[in-house]
Amino acid sequence: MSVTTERQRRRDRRFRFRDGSATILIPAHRPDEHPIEAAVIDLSVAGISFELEPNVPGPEVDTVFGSVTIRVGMCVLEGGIRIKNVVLAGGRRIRVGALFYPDSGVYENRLMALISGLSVGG
Amino acid sequence: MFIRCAKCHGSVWLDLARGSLDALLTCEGCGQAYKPQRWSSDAAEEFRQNAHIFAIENGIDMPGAFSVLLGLMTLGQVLDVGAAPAPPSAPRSASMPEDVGDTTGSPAVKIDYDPAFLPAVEAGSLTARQALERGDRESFAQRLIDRHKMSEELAYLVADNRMSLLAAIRSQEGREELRASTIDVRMGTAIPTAQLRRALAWMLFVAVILGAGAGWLYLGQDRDAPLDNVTVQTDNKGRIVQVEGPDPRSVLEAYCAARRTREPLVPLGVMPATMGNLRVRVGVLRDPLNKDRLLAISIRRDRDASRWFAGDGRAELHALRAPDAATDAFTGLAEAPKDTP
Repeated sequence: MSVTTERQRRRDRRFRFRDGSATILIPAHRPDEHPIEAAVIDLSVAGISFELEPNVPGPEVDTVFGSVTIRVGMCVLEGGIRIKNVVLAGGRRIRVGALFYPDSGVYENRLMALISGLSVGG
Repeated sequence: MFIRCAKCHGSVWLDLARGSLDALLTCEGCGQAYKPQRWSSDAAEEFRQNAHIFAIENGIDMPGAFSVLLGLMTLGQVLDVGAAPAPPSAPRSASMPEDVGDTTGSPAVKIDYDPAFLPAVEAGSLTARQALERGDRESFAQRLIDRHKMSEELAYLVADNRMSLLAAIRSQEGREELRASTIDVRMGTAIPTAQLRRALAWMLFVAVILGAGAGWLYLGQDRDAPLDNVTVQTDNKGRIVQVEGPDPRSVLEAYCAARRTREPLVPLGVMPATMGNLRVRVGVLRDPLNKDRLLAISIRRDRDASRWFAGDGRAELHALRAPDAATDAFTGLAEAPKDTP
């Protein structure tokens, strides 16, 4: 008999990207700081994971960034993220998992279209 | 919007503004049926904004927030603390519960929301439904203060829906020392602060004007001048033809510092140049004498040496008009110090 937990049941299908084919840009908060750009690892209807390059300090869990830009091919999504998970990945990189909150219905529609396209494309 | 299936917690796409022509939507994961009702686009957008705040506040995803506010799931179920709901026998209506109140914001309707919200409801910034969903106004504001290190003033503006949560967070981001030291990415930058960068730029500018320092400045003929692991190469007329550094940011800063302009160029940041290509970046900068538009240089990474270059080493390296995406990304950033409260 298989037991399915709540956590497992809510795990959405994640669409993985080849290295560099999708990016997330987190603008700097002040002019003397640097924006962060990172390679998106995967994307789902509710969240995103990305990897920070070595030497980039990882954000704290539950931090909210109100303005990020995700680019997947020609598709641009804007919204906020809430950090949910920060783990060490290979090569001293830090992998970050976050919930994604599209800024508007327009970006929600784009996300849906993107997910649909990825679903069709396998 | 994607909603969370009440039965299997999978995602189901639902377009509130369009409805679905009275057809049933079914969850692909479990077959659970939903009967969407058509909403006006304004009502759908208002609902979406409400769900946005609800999701961020409770640390849940957007599909979960939609389902909670649609009455399909409880917050406890979304947060994993409640039991899974029993499979409903009839199609569930993906509409707001009818007994919650109206959506017009009229206080005359019998709604049991916190009276502290009444001024906001009467002012039209908050609907009665939103007030009800937010519960106790003071508690709601306090949660904002605790979770987002938000000022009390901002928290109550958000509570009354006079300012969006994201706008409040963004305004906080501009003025506070980045909570989480999160993303203080200096990455070994040679010049640690904006003040130092500006000072260096001015020193270079003055030195060029005075004709001094020709021995070490990177403006001599065909001279490669090291500056903390950054090299600026010029031609025999003193024009910059290539900048090389350990990272895109240092290349951008060195270019800005080395360019002979009346006012020092201001490096703003680096962003991807082309979709999906992390080897090429756009270094965005601002000319103080031309505030109407941003400029940019292309910076590429050497495959072998992991060094970053701008310019081909032959032609003069010009900063060109920045792409629209860069303008969108950095214009606000450049103005942030003046605008933030």
